[in-house]
Amino acid sequence: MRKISKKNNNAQMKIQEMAFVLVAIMIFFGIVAIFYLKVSLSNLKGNVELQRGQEANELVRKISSAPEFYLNKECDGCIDMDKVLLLKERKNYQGFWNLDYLAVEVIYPNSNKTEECTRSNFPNCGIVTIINKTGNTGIPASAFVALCRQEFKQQGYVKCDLGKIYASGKSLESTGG
Amino acid sequence: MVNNKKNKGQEEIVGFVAIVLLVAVVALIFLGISLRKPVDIQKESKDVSRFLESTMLYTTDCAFGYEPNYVTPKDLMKECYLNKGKKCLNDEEVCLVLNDTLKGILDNSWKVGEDSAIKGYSFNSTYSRNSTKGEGESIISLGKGNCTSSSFVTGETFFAVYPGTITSSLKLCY
Repeated sequence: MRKISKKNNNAQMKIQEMAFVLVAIMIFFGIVAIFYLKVSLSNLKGNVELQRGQEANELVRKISSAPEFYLNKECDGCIDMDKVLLLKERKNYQGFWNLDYLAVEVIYPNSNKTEECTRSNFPNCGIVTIINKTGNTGIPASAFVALCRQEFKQQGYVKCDLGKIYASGKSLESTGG
Repeated sequence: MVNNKKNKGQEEIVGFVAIVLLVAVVALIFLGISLRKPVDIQKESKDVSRFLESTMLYTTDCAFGYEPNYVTPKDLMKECYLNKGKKCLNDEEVCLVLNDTLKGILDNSWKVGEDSAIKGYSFNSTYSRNSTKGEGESIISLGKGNCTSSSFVTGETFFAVYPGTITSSLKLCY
């Protein structure tokens, strides 16, 4: 009788040991799975952010082809800088695109000009800020564009520089800008 | 009796070693994932392609025939390929103007250096009679910084010059 009881105790101990080991293994694999998921999700998050950034840049590019900026049919992706200067003075356009910040910067030829463009200093300036509602623009979405203007020297011609259009705001944030 | 105990002890040791081995293998996999080399970025970028498209619309200081018939880098590439020695109205060589203009645009647009995210760039423009990539005669090649890394983004633009096409590509190395 005593022998049977001792055997039972031994078997219970064995089952207990096995249960503990199984639980420990399960916990260990659980931790590994969590870590793996975390790594793969962070990669996914990075890819999504990149994709959203590109979409925001595309949206900025679309804004540049709006009739308010558009130069002509022959030049897709060209911005009419004369229009942009006039647009800057029109206060009723401040809420038109639902943006907090919209600016056009001359990249080349620039020679480190950072001065804000006005009618009096144009084209010897660096940037035209059309909308600046908050002052804090964060990192705006941007796209390269050709900035064209009518030159009145000689017989008159259209001169294009290289520039960038920047935009930030809630309408872009919804797509990730 | 002693033999039975010895057997039991051996079994326990084998079980323990098996668990240790299992844990070690999983830990190694775990370590391998965390120490894995960052994935190389090699892809086409719309931003770079847009940059090239906009660059091709830039009005240079070179005029052909009369002033103000100022031409674009596109026209300069075409002339640099077809008539290498051709000069602008201001007596500057077309290929030199193209070289200086593109260099100025690239250096102003992309901040390249050891401290920057972009470590180098490589710009190439080639003429090819068919659309097969990698074949063609080089018109202009420009480069700056270190562009040997396997992480880069590229973009390209092309236009027709009968009977072939001129393809311009830019590679930004990270």
